[in-house]
Amino acid sequence: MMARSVILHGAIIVALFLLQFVASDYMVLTLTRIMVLAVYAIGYNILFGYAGLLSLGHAMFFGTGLYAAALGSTLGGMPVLAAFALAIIIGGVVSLVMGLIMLRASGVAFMIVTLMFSQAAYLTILYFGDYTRGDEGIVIKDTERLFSVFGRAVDLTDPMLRYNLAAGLLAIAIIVSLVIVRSRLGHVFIAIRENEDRTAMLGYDTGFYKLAAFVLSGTFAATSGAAYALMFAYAGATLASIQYSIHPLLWTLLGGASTVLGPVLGTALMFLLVDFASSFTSANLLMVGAVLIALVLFFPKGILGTVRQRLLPWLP
Amino acid sequence: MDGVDFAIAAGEVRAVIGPNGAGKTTFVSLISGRIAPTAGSVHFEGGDITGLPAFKRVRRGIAYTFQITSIYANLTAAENVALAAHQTGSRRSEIYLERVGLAGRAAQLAGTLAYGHQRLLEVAMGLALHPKLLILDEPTQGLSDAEIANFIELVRLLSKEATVLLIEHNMPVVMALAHRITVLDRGRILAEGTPGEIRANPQVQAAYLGTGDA
Repeated sequence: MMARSVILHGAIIVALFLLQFVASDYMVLTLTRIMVLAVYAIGYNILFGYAGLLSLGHAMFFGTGLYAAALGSTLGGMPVLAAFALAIIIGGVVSLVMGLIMLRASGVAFMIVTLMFSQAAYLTILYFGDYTRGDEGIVIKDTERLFSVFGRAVDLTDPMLRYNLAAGLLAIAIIVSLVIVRSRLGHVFIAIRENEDRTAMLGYDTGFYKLAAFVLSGTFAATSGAAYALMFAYAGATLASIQYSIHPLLWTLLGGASTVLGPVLGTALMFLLVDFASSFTSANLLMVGAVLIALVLFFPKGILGTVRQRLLPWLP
Repeated sequence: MDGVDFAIAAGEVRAVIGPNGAGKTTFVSLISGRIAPTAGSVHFEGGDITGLPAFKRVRRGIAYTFQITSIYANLTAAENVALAAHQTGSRRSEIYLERVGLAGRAAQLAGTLAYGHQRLLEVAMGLALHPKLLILDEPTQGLSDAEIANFIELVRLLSKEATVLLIEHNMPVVMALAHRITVLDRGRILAEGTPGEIRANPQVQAAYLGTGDA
C-alpha cells in the first residue's frame, strides 16, 4: 500500500520534470505558473480537504508571501533567496497569529471571519499604495532577480530554469503533503473533519491540531505567493483579492479534496480550461461555470476523490 | 446539577439512574469535562481536575463513550480504534476489536456496521484509551436482548481493569452489573446504595421505579 502511493507520486514528479522537453515555449510558461499555484492549492487542501476547515480568505496568506518577497527584494534590496526565506517565515508568523484569532470561530462563522480579514488585508494593501503600488503592482527588476548558488549564477528570467525551480518546489510540496497525510498529524486532521467533538474525547487537543493545519496551510500559501512574485517579477493587489481566495477552493474541489494530487490536477485543468476557452470566446468564465456544474453532478468528490471511491481505494 | 456530592471508588461498577431530564448526561459531562461547572469541583485520583479541558482528562484516564453513537462513519472500524489508541497503523486495533467481538469487521466502514456493532465499536474505542474510569452513557440503548446479554458479560470483564460508571435506563442491566447505584432526580441525588437498598427505597420507588417491581 505504501509502495504504490510512493511510486505514483514519484512518477508524477518525474513526469513534471520530463514535460519540459516536449512542451512549447508558451506551454513551459503556463506550466510554470500552474506548478507554482498548485503549491498554493496543496496547502489549501491541508486545511480544507483534510482538517475540514473551509477558509474564504487564503488570498491573505498568498498575498503575504507575494508582498513580503517583492518588498524584501525591491525596497529591502535583499537577495532573492533571502527574500524568499523571509516571505516564508513571515507567512508562517502571520498565519499563526491569524489562526489564533480566526479559529475561535467555527463553521459558517469561520468562513465569514476568514473572508473579512482577507478583505481587510486587501484594502490595507491598497491603502499603503505608496509602498505596494496598489493595483498597478510592484515590478521586480531583472537585475534584482539574479543570484548565485554555490558560485553558480542563477537568472530567474530564464524560462527553463524557472520551470525546473517551480517543478522542484511543487515536488517538495507534494512530498511534504504526502508525509503529513500519512503521519499522525494527518490522521488527526481527518478525525477532526469527521467528528471534532469525538476527537477531543479521545484525548486529542483539537485546538492545537486545527492551528497546526492552519499554519501549515497558510505557510504553503505564502511560499507559493513568494515564488510567484520572484519568478514572474510582479506583485499586484489583484493577486491578494477575493478571487485568489476562491481559486484554491475551486482547484481543490475540481481535482479532489483530501487527495494529495487532487489540488495539482485541479489547478492544471482549470488553468488549461480557461486558456482553451479564451482562445475562441471572451466568455471563458461561462465554460468554467459549466464545468463546475458538471463536476457537482458527476464528480461530487472531485476527479481524484471519485477515482479513489470507485477504482483506487489506496490513493492517499 | 445542585448539591451533588458524589464519589466513586476504584474498581467499582457504579450505575447512575434517574428519570428523563434528571441530569444524568449533564452529570457525566461534568466529570468528563465536556461541560464546565459554574461552581464546585471535580477530583480524580487525588488531583483537582476541575480546570482541565476534556482532552486532558481523557489523557489522565477518563474515557467517555457517547450516548448517541459518535464514531467516524467514513473510516473503517480498525481506523476508528487506531485513532482512539493514538496510533497511525491499525495493527494493534485488532486486539480491541477482538475483545468486543468485532475482529471480523476491522476493514468495514464504521457507518455501514449494524447499530449494535457500532455501539460495540464505541466500547472498543473506549478500551483502546486504556481508561482508569470508563463512562458508558446508555450503552444498551437500541440493542437486542441477545446483544444486551453479551454486553453485560463484556462490562463484567472490563470492570476487572477499570472503574465503570454506567448510565442506564434498562433496569435488568443495572441490577446485573452495578455494585452500587446512584439515583438522580431533577439535578439532585435522591438516593445512593446497593441494588437491594435502592430497590427497597420508597422515595426511589415513587420517583422512578413506579410500582417497585423492577
